[in-house]
Amino acid sequence: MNPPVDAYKAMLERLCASSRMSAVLVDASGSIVWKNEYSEEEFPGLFVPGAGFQTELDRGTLAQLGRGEPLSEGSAGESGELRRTESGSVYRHSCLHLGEAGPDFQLHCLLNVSAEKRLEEHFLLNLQQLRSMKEIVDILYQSMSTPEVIYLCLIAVTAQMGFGFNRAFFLQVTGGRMRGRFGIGPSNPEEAHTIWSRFATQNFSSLRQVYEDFTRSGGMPDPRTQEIAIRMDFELQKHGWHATQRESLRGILGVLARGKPAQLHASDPGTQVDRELFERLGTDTVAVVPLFVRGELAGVIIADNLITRKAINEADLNVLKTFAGYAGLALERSHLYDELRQSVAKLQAANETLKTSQQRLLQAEKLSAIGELAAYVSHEIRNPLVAIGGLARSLIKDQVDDPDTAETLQIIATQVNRLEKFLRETLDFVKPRVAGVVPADVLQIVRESLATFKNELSENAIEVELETSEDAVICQIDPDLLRHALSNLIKNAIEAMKGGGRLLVGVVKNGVSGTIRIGDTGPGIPAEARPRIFDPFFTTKPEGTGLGLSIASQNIRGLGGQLELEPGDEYRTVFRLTLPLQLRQELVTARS
Amino acid sequence: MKTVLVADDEVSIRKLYHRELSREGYNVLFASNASEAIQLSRESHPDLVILDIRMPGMDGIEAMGRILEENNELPIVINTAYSSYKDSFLSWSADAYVTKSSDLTELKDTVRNLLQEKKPALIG
Repeated sequence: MNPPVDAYKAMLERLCASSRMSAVLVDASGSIVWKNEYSEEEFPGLFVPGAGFQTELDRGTLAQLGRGEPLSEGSAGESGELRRTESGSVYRHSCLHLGEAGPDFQLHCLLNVSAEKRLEEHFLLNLQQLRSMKEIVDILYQSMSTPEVIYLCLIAVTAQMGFGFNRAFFLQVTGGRMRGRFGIGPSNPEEAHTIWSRFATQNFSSLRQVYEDFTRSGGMPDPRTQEIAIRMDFELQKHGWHATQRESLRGILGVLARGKPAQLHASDPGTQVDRELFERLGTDTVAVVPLFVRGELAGVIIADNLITRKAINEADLNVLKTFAGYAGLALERSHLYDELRQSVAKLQAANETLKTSQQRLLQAEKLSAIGELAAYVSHEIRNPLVAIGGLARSLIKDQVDDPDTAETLQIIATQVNRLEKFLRETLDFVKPRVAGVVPADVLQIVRESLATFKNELSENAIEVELETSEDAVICQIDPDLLRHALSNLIKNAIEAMKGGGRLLVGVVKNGVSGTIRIGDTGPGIPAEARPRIFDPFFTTKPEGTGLGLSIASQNIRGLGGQLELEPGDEYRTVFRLTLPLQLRQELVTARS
Repeated sequence: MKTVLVADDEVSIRKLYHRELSREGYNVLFASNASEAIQLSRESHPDLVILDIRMPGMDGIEAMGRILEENNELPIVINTAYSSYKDSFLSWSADAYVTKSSDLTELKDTVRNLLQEKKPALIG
């Protein structure tokens, strides 16, 4: 008997008796010299003579012990280190070197701290869940659109830093009908591997980042999962949803009625809805999370673990319960925001319409007043002009002898002619006429209008670029009004290109209308003048009447067409004239 | 010699039309208002009537109606400073519509053509 060993034993017996500590004394060869009763009771087979500690984490230490080396710091030193056995127990292991007064001995003290550890882990888990929940809620509340909120909810349910389910689906409930809207998550193990390894390398630090990555990648990591979602469509009324005692319904209908997240198994008694649901999902266990907006059932999130087959536990459901409340609030908020946005848009549209019609009315009133005045002025001026000019012409025919008188008469006739031309081209078109609408070949009229400006075009070195479509463009119009509008536009274009340039004349057919584009390479219309060019009396020319474009646009509108100013590119000013196409109504009617 | 009746309230226009239409070889009669025109067309049997629309009292369109009631074969030319009546169905029963102009070529051509063609008798 070795005297120090006996002394140690006696000391250890006393020490261990006063605490629930397990102790093992090992000699230099690694053999157990002594151990107390707790050692075997709490850690059966923990220490095998010659092989040392039989725990996963302890093999390094065992090797050291086997070689008789003193244990280094950070390993099982005097302060102790946590170790976990295969059975799940956690103990604090500390090691004392007892070699100073004789042969080498190692004293291993083991204290079972499993209970404390479990408590700590539980707290840590709760803390982490609280943090995740806070982050989820923060993100949800930043979202203003309903689809975004729903997607975020699904991401929170499936993300590792969220609740870690494999897949999540959102089904909307309205009017007794439950329809799948969104589904995310992998549909098979290969897909899962792709998605999850991508997430692992991306190293996202927040759910927001996950969401942003998700939307960047097109928002649909696996279209098959989305497909499963949108194929789900249940008429709840057919399965007893209208019952007064909904809470007693079985399966998912009961969960929806009771409004609390729950777990459902394929083997649970349920309705046809459950059978179809599990069949479509291909799983046997799901978590069902009903979502309420303003106290009304708005939808349900269904989550499962298709790939990992991980069981859903009570803790998962508890977290989902908290989550469901927040998700409902976020949905309510986004619904309100959607409604607000729609109302604002409606109001804006109404306001726009009102403004436009006010402007139209004002312009129509202006033009109507101008029309009355113009007709009166035209008549009052034309009669004397006819007499003056006509008599001058008549006198010229009398073979006046004096050349000066003959010239004077010619001047009178010419000037009167000019005034009459002005009346014809402007004032005559102000009076809203009963338009003589007939099917007319637009290109033909455009060519004719261009021909009347042949001289002006060549005098100003203006090159005409005619772009036409293959088919004839036949429109329902009054050719006189179109000619008037075209001559106004062409005249303006020529005046804008006194130093030469290019005149674009395009005639094309698109859908139910024919389009004529007249563009010039002149200096362009100043930005501040652009909104006013169709206003009566607005002009940028010293001798302009400011009536040409306003009358033309009014007349074109009267024909069911439109005259607009395009933004302009290389052709700085481009007018677009749209006219309704002749739809061969007679033929259509005759055939039917 | 063909007789043309011109109804216009403006003396200067009557003066002009007298010069120009006489030169064309017509016998020209004048009325300064609608009732005169109706009376003259009944009494003097003109071959053609040129009517202004705006005249004091009865207008040219109404006068045309009365004249055609009595003789629906008489060619009538509406000649006015207003172009807007051109599209009014009221003036459709006229044989021609010529907007007033100091250049009388169109009016003279129209008168010549109308006098050359024999107006078919209306049945009923």
